[in-house]
Amino acid sequence: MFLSLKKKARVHSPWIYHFHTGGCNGCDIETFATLIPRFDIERFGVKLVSSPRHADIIIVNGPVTKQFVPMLLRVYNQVPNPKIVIAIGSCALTCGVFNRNGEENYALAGPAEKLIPVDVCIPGCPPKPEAIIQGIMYAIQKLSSL
Amino acid sequence: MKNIKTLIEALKNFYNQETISYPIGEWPGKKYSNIPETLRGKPKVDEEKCIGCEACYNACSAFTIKFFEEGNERKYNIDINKCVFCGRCEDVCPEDAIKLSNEFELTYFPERKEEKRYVKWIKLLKDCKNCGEKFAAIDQINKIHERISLNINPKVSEEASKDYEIYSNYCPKCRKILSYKIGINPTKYYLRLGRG
Ligand code: SF4
Ligand code: SF4
Ligand code: SF4
Repeated sequence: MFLSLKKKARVHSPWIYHFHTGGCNGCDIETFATLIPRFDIERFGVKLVSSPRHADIIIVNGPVTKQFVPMLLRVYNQVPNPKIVIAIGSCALTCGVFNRNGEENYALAGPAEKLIPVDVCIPGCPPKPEAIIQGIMYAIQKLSSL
Repeated sequence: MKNIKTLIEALKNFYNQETISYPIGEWPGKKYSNIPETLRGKPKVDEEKCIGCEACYNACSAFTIKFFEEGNERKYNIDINKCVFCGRCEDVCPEDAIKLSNEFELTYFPERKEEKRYVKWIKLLKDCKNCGEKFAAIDQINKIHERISLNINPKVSEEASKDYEIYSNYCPKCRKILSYKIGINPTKYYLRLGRG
């Protein structure tokens, strides 16, 4: 009973931790744009939290730079189970514009998909706020099935 | 005084809703769609119109349009994950075959990426009559033929189009040898028209 209540609370108000791993900042701006009243993702109970230990969903964007690898893994391990990872933008999915024609970039440790399991992918450079809303709905859908 | 101003502002905003609705949906019971026409979303390709000229491949700013050749097919592939929706491919396409649609809902679950991630299309290639090498898409060769007969001086257009039919069966390398052998050379048209 307690577990089902916990699940219900999680689905109706997923808390998000936003983690930036070295992109151009475009995706961060769009992510925050979805939180402001104009797009108002908060109507679904979504709340931005400042600590990964409180989060249900973790949003990753940027092509993970080599310096960010230990931090990303640490943050990922700090999020309590069950957790959902959303990769936002071309960078988090394929390194995007930082990885020309599939060549290796000396500063990058590869896309986020390579380092942590990603549950929802939102392509775009940067994705439109509407696309992010759709992505978060997908994430909530997945969260309710866990 | 200050309080009244705040009150007026509050009352104004009470009727002016700031939050916009999701661009496509169903409410109340009726489907609506107010996606702006100029929105740049997933590129879509009209396979019939495309002539396989590679212009989009050369212009793509994110290096996401790729092709590889397999048998007598050239397989084009756009990876949506890398696309930056700049619209350069749309600008350079001579046939308006590639267009950015206003489909913005691109989210997918990674286990079902094949459905949404790639835009794929195929063009058939032509073999060289002499050496058997595949050198260009059939549709592109036909299109060039069409353009030549449209743009050339009518005095020589029939002859040129006949020459082109012979020419278009050979790859650029064999073409050079051929033009030396049987004496088809573009300069002869200029000579005929007195511009040589
Ligand atoms: S996906 Fe594009 S907008 Fe987002 S961080 Fe990377 S380069 Fe910037
Ligand atoms: S919109 Fe830009 S990045 Fe996307 S396929 Fe076309 S040229 Fe490439
Ligand atoms: S016709 Fe257009 S879509 Fe086809 S290869 Fe040329 S530029 Fe690309």
